[in-house]
Amino acid sequence: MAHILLIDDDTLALESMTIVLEDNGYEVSTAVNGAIGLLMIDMHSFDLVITDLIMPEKEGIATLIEVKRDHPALKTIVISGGGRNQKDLYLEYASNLGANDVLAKPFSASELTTSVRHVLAL
Amino acid sequence: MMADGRKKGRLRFDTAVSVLSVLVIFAGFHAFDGFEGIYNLTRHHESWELDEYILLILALPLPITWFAYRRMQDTARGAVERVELIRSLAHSRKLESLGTLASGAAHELNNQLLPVMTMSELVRDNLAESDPNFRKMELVIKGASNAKRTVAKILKFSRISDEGVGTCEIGEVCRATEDVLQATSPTNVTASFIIDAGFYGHVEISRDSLQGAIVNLFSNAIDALDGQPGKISLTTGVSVLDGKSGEFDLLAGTYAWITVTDSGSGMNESIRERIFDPFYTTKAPGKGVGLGLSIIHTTIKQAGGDVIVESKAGHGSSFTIYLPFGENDLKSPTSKEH
Repeated sequence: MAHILLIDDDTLALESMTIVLEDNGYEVSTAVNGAIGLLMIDMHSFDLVITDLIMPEKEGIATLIEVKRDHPALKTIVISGGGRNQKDLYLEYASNLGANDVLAKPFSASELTTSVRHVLAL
Repeated sequence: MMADGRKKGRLRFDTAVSVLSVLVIFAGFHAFDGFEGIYNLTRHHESWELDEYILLILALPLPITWFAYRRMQDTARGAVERVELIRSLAHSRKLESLGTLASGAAHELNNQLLPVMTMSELVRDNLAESDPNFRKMELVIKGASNAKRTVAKILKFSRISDEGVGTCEIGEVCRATEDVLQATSPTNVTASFIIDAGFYGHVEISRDSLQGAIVNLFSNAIDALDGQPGKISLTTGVSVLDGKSGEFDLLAGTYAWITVTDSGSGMNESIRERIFDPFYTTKAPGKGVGLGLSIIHTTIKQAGGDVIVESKAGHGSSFTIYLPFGENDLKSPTSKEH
């Protein structure tokens, strides 16, 4: 079954998404920020990375850019809880930067699993 | 209000004129032997009576007094304008801070809603429909969905600067919205729509934002009737504003207007003054967060227009949206002067 890396600084969100994905048979690893996530990507083999956009220690956009640069075949889903400033269009930026799908928080368990199935099938 | 540079310029000019006047008067009196001249004038006019001299003496200060009074008025007006400008700036900063705060809060709330939505859905899916806890989890999911919609409204408020931008034809939007409102009005409400066939023109606001504003005003009007039978009307027209009326915070020009009037309970002055404040609501808890009118007001202002409310407790309310026309647009024949 696919190995998914979750990157999110919110531990509740990490645990919730882990439970949903493991219930659906996926192997899940987690990282609390983009810097740790990139280290883990270099050390392990993942089929999909799901990353939050707004985090300390390397924002999601910077993480996405590095993933696309160093691991172009690695599939990505970007998630976000909405902007911290009035002109935030991060999800649109992420899509333009090559994320395979974008999800706006809060999403349901079925929305998450549908997105994961869709992206892994690409 | 004059810029500092202009004020300094006027002061230099006034000082120069004053100094020059003294020099000219002194030089003139000296050159033409002025005091001798005044003496001779009084001798040649010995028939002048005392009251004529007094009138002459009294007449001189009049222009000086008038000039001083006018300058005092200008100064007072400038002080009032400055206070209004400071108040307006403080209000804009407050809204900006509120927008930033709302955006940050919305982000955090969306994060916190994620485990609520995902976990409650997982638990519900593992229960039989006959299980009493199934319905409880459904309620949790529904509550989270409603919270998600409320947070989306808060985010929309904090992003208004982007979403209202665009252009639309105001007559088309009104007619399209009329169809929607006719279909959704309660059966005990008499809804009337008066949109002149010639009501046409382009305004600098997105179609979605304008339609959303009209629908929101109509929805508020229905709420004002509080389930009782009543009347709601939507009327449109064109007005030429001179930019001087204190009622309107608008530049001189030609404006399209849309008025939504209800026969509901109306508002007293204290409510009317706060009706456009963010998060201010007169509705019961859970019936709205008080952002609808604030969003409308901000969007219309960004489009160069304004929203005017007229209301009296017990006598219903009228909300009028004013939007400036583009320069090349034809105007409705129902123009009226303000």
